[in-house]
Amino acid sequence: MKAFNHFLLFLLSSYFSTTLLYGQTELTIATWGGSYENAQQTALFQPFEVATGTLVNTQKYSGDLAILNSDLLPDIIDMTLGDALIACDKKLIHKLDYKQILINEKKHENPKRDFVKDSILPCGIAHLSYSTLIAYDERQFTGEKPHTISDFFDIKRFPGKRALYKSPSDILEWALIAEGVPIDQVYDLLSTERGMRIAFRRLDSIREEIIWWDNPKQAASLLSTGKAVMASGYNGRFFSAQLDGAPITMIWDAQIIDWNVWVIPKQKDSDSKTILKNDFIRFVIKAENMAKLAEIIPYGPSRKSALRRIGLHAEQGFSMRDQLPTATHHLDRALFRDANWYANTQNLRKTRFWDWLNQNKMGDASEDNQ
Amino acid sequence: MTSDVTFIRISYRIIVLTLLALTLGSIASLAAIAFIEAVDWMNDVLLISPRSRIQLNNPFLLTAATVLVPATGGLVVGFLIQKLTIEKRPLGPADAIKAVQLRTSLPDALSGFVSTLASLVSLGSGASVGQYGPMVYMGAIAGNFASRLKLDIPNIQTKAIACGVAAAISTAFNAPIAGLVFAHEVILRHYSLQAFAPTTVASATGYVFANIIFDSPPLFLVHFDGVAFGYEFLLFAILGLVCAFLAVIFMRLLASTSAFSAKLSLPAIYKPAIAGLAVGIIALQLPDVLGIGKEALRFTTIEGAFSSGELILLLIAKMMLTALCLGFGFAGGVFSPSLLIGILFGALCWTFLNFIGIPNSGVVVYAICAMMALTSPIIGAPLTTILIVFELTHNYDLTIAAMVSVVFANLLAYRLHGRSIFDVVLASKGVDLSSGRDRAMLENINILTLDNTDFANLKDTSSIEESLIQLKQAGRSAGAITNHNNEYLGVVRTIDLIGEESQAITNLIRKDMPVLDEKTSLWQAMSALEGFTGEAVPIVDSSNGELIGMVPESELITAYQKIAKDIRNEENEGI
Repeated sequence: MKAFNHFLLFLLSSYFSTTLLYGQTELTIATWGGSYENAQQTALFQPFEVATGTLVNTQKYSGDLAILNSDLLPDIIDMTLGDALIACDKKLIHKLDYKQILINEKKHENPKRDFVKDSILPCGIAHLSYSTLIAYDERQFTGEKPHTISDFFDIKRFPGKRALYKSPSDILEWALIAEGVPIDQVYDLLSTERGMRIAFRRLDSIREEIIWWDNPKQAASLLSTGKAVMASGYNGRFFSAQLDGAPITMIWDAQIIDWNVWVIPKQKDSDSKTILKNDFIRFVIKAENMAKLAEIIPYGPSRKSALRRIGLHAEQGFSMRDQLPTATHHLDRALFRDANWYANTQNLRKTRFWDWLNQNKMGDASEDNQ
Repeated sequence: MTSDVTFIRISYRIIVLTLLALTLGSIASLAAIAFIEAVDWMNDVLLISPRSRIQLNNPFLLTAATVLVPATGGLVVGFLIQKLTIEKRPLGPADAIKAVQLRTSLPDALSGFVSTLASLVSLGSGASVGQYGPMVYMGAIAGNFASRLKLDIPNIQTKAIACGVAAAISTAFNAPIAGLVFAHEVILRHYSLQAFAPTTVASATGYVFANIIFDSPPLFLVHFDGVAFGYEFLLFAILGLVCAFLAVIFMRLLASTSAFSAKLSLPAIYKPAIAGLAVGIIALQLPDVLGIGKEALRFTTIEGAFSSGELILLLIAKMMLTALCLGFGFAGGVFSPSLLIGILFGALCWTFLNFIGIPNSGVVVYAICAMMALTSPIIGAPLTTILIVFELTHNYDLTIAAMVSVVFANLLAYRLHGRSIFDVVLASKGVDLSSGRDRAMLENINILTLDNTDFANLKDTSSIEESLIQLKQAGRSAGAITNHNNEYLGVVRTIDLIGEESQAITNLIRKDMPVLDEKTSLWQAMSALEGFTGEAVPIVDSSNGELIGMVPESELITAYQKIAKDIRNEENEGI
């Protein structure tokens, strides 16, 4: 069906578009797959295709900067804020041409004020907030339910396998919070040798129960197939799994909020290609398009005017604003990720994490889950 | 309160005092917030805070900064204090206490400002000193400015300084009741409604700024489920007593380092840099000693975060370096280092309890008890420390436990050392508050400030008749005899001269006459005159024996009564 759509679009655009003559009306966007990408297709990519006649291809991306050194360099990447800051620092991505990107913005909605603070970065524009959090399988806990991050680390009261993203992200923060560290002080304490030590000590206590995942899609499926009783993952994907009938519940305690950023990798471009990329970013950061995305998958737009436009879920009919990570009832114990800290400590965290993993290979089960 | 104060007058005072308290509360609170922010900012920029250090992926630069930043900070502090202040030492709560207790003025405003700046540099560059002392002093400066306004309010300086201090503490700890009590316990040292009312308003204002407008995070949040075993209260009391010993050792260490530093034949301007260098070198191995140590403070309440060896090492390092930094002239307080030393010691004691196998309620309560038990005798504020626990943790059980430790610590430390480090510092400068405020005020008044010119000065060469005429003309019953160099020889009374015309006047000098000198305080004069009956007492220059004058006894009594009346009014007036 989608191929047919594309074919129709192709015909339409070939009729209207002159750029097609030069074979340049294609854009490759690297993004995260699964329900998130589906939502982007519906809310952003297909409407962009219709509006401009450009063919939007997607390329699978699971974070990290390796993609910027690969041969298959995408035109635009939907990157996490921490990665974007490193990439900018290493000059792997372009500085954005905001004169072009923000050219059609209405004067009364001054984008500098409309965007959440620090969204407009030199090399990228933060477009949505997402939450990394723990969800559990309702079928596994018929009595008392886990509801705090400490419960995640409590394998006595809540026995069973825990699925975690195989990276030194999030888990160190959670381990410290479970030790009783206040949310405000997490990064201060994690900056010390002692903090790291305590975090890994806490992880040690559940080492035997960890199943590692690499692909965000796996988190919800590990829960629904019963391979894990709790899993870390992204709120939007858990939400989609819930809609599909998976009996999972999210624990908002100690949720970690972070941003996704549109960036343009550095490569030799023709002028028309550069214009097209700017056109794309200008299109997807329009308030109405951001709101449309948030009505499908509960990730928070970075524009206040977009937040005001979010309505009901198309099929379920409930308010999508209440499902966002930044909804007030989810913010009591939310940790906002310090992206600079993340960028600057990436090597250190990776080294410590892999050292810790290799101390005892027993807990590594990620190969079993591919 | 009294009938001569009209209704309009009282209304005026209430309105002006309320406005004054609101203004002072806001200023002191904003200053405190700005101070904390500035220290944090400097710690980040100068690579003192762990959060900035871990993000610098350059080991060489990190090592260089660790060693050089505190030392350079020391140079700057040395320059500021030695070149730009009149007192040539950092100012702190002790100066505010002195001004309020003796009803004198604070040191000059420029010195106060420079001293605050020096504290900022000290804390910003990682010296092991505290931040609350400078904040209290900023509050006192604000209050002192207000007291110069012509507002026609009695005892305005006392109230205004108390307001500034209360707001500073209220903001710093997010604890309005503790701020209010601190101002009474440490600064005012008495309770009167006329000071209590504005201080409360200022303290609440500070809280509003800290908590509602700026939403500052609390100093510490802990989770505690309650005391599990009854016998633990006995342990808390014993912990308090042990903390008292440690507090006394710490205070003595501070005093002896200061004394040692004073003896060093090194220009005072370079001394802080030496302490800074020591901090930097030790921080290479033990980065927890840098700055205030917020992270270490938090870790102590996590079981197993420190091994007992690490606790002992950090405890000793922090005590030595704080003594070194303060003794060698860094500007800052003792409150925050005391909190850290106390909490480390509490965690250590808890480790010991576990080692000998006594069941207990966990590390949190012992850490907090020791933290407050060690700090309270140092700053002389048992009630304040108990309230800080209550307002920070909102935990009743924890507060009761801390209360037991704090009280026992204060009882013992008072006996061993004195009321607080501030009192001991003031006593070393001749302001002894331990025997009451009236004595301290009398000690602070020099005898020369009283009129000593109205007396009969007789010459040793005069005849008895001449002298009697001179005494009659002066209307005096006794006179002082001097020689041709104006050197004091003694006092003669009219009654001794009559009928002794053939005698040389020097033979009739009274032997039992007390003599005061130019350094004598009003208190000393009053003591010297015990049992003395006479009209006036001679004051003689101690350096050359020359007569300065004679102070009439009635002058002494009037001066004494004025002070007694001032204190009575200040401490008992309604509004």
